[in-house]
Amino acid sequence: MRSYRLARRSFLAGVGGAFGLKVMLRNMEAMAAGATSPPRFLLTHWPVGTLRQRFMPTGSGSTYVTSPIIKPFEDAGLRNDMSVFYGFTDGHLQCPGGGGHEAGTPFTTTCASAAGTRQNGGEGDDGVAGGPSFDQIFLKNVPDLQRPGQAYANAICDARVDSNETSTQCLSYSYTARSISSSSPGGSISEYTPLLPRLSPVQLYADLFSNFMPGGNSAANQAAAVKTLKLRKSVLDFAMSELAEMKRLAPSGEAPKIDLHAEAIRKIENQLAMQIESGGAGMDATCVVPTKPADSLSGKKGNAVGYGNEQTQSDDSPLHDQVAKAHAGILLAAFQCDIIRVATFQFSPGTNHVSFKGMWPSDPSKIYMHHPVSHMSPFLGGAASQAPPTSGQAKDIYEFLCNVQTWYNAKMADILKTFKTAKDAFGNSLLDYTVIPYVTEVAESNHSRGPKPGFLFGGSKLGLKHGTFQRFAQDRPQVDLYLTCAQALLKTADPKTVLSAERFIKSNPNGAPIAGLWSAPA
Amino acid sequence: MHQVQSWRWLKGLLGAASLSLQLMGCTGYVVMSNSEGTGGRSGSSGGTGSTIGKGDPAACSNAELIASKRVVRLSFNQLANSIGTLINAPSLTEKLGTDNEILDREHRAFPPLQSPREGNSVTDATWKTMDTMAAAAGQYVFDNFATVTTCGAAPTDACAQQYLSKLAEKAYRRALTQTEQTRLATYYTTALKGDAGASVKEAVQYGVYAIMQSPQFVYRTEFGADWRQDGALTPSEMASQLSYFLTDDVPDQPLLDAAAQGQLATAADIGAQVDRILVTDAARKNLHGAMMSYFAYPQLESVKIDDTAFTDGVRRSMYHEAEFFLQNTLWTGKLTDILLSKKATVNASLAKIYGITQFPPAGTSLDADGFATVDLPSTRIGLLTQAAFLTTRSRPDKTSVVGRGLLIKNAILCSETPPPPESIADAISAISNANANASERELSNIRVTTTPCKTCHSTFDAYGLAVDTFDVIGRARAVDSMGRPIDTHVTLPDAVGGGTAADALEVSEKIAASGGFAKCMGRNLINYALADVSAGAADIGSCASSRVAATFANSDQTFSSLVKSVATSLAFANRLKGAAQ
Repeated sequence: MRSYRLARRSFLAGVGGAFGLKVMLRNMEAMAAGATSPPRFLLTHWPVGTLRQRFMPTGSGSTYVTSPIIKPFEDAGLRNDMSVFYGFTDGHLQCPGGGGHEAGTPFTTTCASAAGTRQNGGEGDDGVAGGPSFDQIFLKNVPDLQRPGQAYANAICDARVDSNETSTQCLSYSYTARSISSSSPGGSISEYTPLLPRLSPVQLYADLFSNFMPGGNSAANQAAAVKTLKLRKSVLDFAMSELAEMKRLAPSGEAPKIDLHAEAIRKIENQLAMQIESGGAGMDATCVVPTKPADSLSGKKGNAVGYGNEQTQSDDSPLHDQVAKAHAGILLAAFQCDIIRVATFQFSPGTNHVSFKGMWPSDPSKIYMHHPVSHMSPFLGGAASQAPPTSGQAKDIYEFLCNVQTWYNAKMADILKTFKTAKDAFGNSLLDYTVIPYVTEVAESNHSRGPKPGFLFGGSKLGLKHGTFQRFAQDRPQVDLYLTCAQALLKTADPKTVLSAERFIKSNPNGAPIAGLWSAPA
Repeated sequence: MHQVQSWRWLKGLLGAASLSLQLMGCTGYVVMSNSEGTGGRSGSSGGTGSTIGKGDPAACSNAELIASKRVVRLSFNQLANSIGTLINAPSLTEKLGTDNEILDREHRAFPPLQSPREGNSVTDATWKTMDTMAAAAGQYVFDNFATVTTCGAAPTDACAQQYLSKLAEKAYRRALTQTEQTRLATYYTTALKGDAGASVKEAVQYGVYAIMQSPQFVYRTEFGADWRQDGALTPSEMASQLSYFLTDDVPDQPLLDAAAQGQLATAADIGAQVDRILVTDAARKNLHGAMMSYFAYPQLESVKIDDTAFTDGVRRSMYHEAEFFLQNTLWTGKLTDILLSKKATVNASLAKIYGITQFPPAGTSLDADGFATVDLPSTRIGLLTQAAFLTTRSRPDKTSVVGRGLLIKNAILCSETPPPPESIADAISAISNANANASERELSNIRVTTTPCKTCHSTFDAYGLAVDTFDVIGRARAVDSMGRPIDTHVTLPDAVGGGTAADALEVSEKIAASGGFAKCMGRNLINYALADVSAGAADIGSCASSRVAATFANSDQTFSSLVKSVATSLAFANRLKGAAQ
């Protein structure tokens, strides 16, 4: 992908003088002061759990032998950048009326019990979130993750759901609670506001890079950039003054709503102010602003069924792969440019309607949808945890589901490889400073809440120790994975003390980081 | 209809049968969960609770008010429509919709702010979309400066400022206060022209951007004269609310003038405006789209049916028939024609589904798309036997008495049934396995006679049984898949007067006669008009719904009269005092 490179040397040459020097000096001073690469957090997800026996490595600890489903990561050279787990659970969390995937997805990223389900005109099992998600929790509690502006981004590669659900197509939930009409238990309930992801890569790109002016680093271009930034900031300043007036006139009970609006503006105002001060340049002199993706590139969305009718006519996987790569590339660039340090990345909702060709063993020409296949008998009843069938349709279903999960892991491995080779402004591997949990919303196709698989990638320079597989003797709450991430991000062995006021603590009083995975970096 | 539940999660357990149990209170009515009294609130549904204020208009007094004084965010559709109208650029409205992936009026949620992508508050994501639209508005004005502003090729500051001032007044939907005028003027001269060094054109561009970003534009206020008291909206607030309810757009000049002249103070004043606006294209398209959304016709686009007769052509034909159906029933005849119409506008493939042998009928001609109006066969009537309505919620290969029963109870009578708890899934499975070859009638008999199943199933199974004589895409059939005759005689729930009905025709007639459908549609329109129902919606048993139903009953009982009944109701014009923080 051709990109506009604002290389350090040519940047200084083009702009010259004190302006460029200021940006360069900031980095040099930081390095001289012993500053290192900042931490980053990327919460990632794959749909529909796993097939237990095909997932499980042989052995444990650092000498485990990888399994077919995990092999893509090994093949990508990521063994020493990852930890593999089996045995997480959300079974202790409550969400009245919530569906397997529909409650499972908010459970997986918030680790908090929820009030019930959303009234959305659909099936009534659309679970709300009972607390903020861990991307937002870390953004709030880890100053080093904070950036001017919105400071986070959320991406999804396909957004087809069963029936109007929000839960399955959202990993990120804010700290802001709001009242909504519920299907279960009925009446009004409180939900933590979903921060819906971008489906279209070009929209994600616009969110993150619209304040950059590609086209070279001439003085005229920089001056135009500063003027545009000032004009744009003036619009926001005007809106803020109008909001203050509205708050004065409105019922005081409406203040939270108005404050939320003001906060959304303030984040961007701060970002623009910083860019104006920097002379309109990118956040970092080595920032590689990617080329804008094609307007037409986007995953699919809307309601889809397919239960009882799992076969379809077209193979979604090439587009799915393309969108995933585009999203991942934009997030990687945003991390490199230090625009954001927190993001979520979701391949698809747990009720995954993406179709795959070539994965049905008895007839590779057939094309099937992922989640509808997982509902085919006997898999809804629990066959996914049992020995792989050796014949008949059960074998086809089993192998199809394994093949799809392996496909997702291969794509995730490709993304992680790009993170591994990409450098940040300090010349360090992005992966080494990015903590990347990779989670799923159900244990298996029978919607069980545990034991669930999980992965943790990256962050080795933040103190995370990798290269092992752990199968927990007793199921551990999912939160333990995030508490392990918290050790690395908060640089403490006891993150629960720092996070003691957070909602997930109440739902997980016995949660604890997984021992042996973190130690303070030298 | 946005409160229908099908129990997909049971599919793997139940196999061929569809059986459900309901342990929670299930009266067939949604009972208010809040206590009621003078100035009380009409809350949203709960499974159990107080029966005070069950809906007798005579007993309701001030309890009709639903919403409190507040700010209400304009939906993305409303913002896009408003921007296009304000700048006199309909093409911009369409572009904003496409660029920001805003669902059209038929695909949006009902009411629109219920969609999680909208929500009632401005979050990071919603702000970004609003900001993008506002910026696009500014860019459009810049690119088409001469025609949009009429300030010519060499614009002056005076002309530019006059343009912005007038635009702000229209965008804010009221006269600007002196403070606002000063703020806008200072913004132009100091921030834009001064600090940022903008040219006149650039200053107008960013002035437009700022106006379209302003909270005075993106929110409707509902403060009344004093937010600390219960009371009426101000005239300009009423004009905004009425306009966005009917057209999804800014008030037109006659409505703004009526507000300015104090001519929106009485029900008669408001009724006159409703009469005027409802004959406009904008109002009819908006409300038609809203009802298409309410009846979930867009689900035809994604429903999977395992029948070779359900081709893409048939799918599209059904959708077009639905468009005609609502077009005809909403704007001519009575509201209950939705249930009782014996006419349909179909093409040849739909005529085949309906069993109409002569198409087109003698003496009629086809339109450009091959559609003509026909008389329905004697076994069919209105919405309940319409192919599109039945198909939207069909399973791929079989009908479902439970699914269709819930659909009708929800969509037609606004009565919800919560899903059964997972704790009884095993019991359901056991009964299902023991009756694997039972007919739908036999299964229903078990459900309506077995505790605890009967508490809920007696409130909706009858509807599903009555329409079981139509298959997954609405073709008539006399026997089921195993050749067993289908019996459509049912005992109706008390909610529609009880008694018996022989078939879908009699069920439709009884539902229409009970007044339940009209009350349900009234309640839906109240919520649509209120826009933001996150803090509490009108429910079917509320005073507001009863009052609208009573007003409607004394009218000519058209859809337009229902809209007018809502617009002239206390709940529409008044608010409870604002909540203090």
